[in-house]
Amino acid sequence: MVEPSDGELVGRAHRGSRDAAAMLFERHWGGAWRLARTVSGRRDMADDIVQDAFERAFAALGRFDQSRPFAPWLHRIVINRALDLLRSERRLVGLDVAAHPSAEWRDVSADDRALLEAVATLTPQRRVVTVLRYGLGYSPAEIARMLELPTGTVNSRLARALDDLRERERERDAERT
Amino acid sequence: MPSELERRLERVLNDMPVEASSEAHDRARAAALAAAAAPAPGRGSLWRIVIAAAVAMALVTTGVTLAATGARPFSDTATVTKPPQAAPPHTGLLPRGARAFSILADGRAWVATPHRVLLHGAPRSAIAVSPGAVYVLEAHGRTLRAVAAGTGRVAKTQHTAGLATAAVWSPFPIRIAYLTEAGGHQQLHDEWGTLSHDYLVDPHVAAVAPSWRWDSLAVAYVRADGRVAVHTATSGHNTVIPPNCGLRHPTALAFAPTSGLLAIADRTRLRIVDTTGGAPDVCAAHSPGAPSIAWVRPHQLFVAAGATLYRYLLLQPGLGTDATTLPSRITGLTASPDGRRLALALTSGGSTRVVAATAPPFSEQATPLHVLQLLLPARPVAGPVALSWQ
Repeated sequence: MVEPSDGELVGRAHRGSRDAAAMLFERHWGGAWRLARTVSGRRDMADDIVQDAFERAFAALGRFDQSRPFAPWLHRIVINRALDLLRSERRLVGLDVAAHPSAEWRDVSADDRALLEAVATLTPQRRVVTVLRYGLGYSPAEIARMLELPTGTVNSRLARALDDLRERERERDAERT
Repeated sequence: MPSELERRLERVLNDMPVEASSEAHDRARAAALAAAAAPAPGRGSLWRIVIAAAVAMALVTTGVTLAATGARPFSDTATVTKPPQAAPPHTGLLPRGARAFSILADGRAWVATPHRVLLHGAPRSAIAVSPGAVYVLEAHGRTLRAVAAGTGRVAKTQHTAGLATAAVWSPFPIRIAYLTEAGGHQQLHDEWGTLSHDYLVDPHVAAVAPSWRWDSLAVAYVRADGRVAVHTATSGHNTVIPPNCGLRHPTALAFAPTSGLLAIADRTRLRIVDTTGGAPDVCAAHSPGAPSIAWVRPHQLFVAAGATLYRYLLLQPGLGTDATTLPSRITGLTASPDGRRLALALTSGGSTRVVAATAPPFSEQATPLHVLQLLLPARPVAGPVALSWQ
């Protein structure tokens, strides 16, 4: 049996099909959560970001152009929500905390965790393009369209992100020796 | 050709586990499906069908739940009476899109559903709307009554040992926690959603509305000595939470929607404690005043105290806060089920009005409160206002 396309599901969901909406949600939940998790750098924030993004996306299905792919549109919303929250932190006032929680990443090997933590230290702009390129497989041109940036800017950010990550790897190797 | 680093990035980012809890997934799914079903131009008839299906599902769910408790469901024991007193239509009483909304202030209650106004300023000492707005539990004197929200039919009546001063349905409508006052003492009871199998949890508690955990298996309450305790319904054990953050005599508490996080507040302090013991306490100070708490997301909540509305974001580590100051004291607060809107009781000059407003988002700019709807016009009210939005 042929799986319905995202466009078909969007159309059916917009016409009121709960099953289509549920299928669309399940199809994109994992990717959206990983994107939110990596861009925000926080597991606890990812839950809120993804819920918010899906609510906004599903409430706007009527405005979605069904001839275009759904995932980039959803991912753009996820990124915007994640960056909104990160930006808002600048004016959040840190309050007294009894103790610090445990490490962030679970069920990941030490090397992989180090790389994920290095990604989390990138600037938000570089982190976003890194996750879109290597985590979700978008080409630089697709990322440029999604973020409304020149392709050259995307390539430049990717190159600098890789430079930053290589630098972190070198620092980590130096600490080991 | 991709470098070794790029290949590693692809593998690590693609293999990254989705660490979201099933509760977070389910909550997001429900919110997304609800958003997809929201009305749009030209979809009026479809929307009515969706609403009817949702109400039918809620009725079926509750019926199954009640039957599963082993007691006879309400429909078997119901005493059919005439519909409730004719109340003046007051379409403003129901926030847009709400299944039910209730106000309890100075011993008077207002309850509205899309179908009818069930109570309009009637004397009641406690009100609780069941999840899905299927039943309204109302306390009058020493009597608790479950009334079908759709028809106004009295489904079940229960006599209590004292005046019921607060009542709360569990999120999965299998249990009810309620407080009674008798002989100068407040008592906490836990009973089945069928108003049967009543169990005295604690004979000496504070007059603070209890709060159910998301799984409906535990309820938090404030003891008479000011300590907060969690009663586990399955084992019957009461676990006292050790004091922290300098809180004295909490007057509000609320469990988070999908976890064991419990927000506790007194007149000047807020504490968020993980009752499952996994995370450290978070403490914060707020403007002096009787606090109200409303969670809007698994890690976000509003606290109203004095004339300030605080939005808190739980971080790891820490707590972000964002405050909106209003020209009136906030004497009541609740949130819509999707967390996007708030209802607030605003008191100034001895009169109180209830409004629906957009939940102010975290943003770089200070966001004023955007009032959407006047739910209850100004009237003289002295004490705090209990609000509920389904």
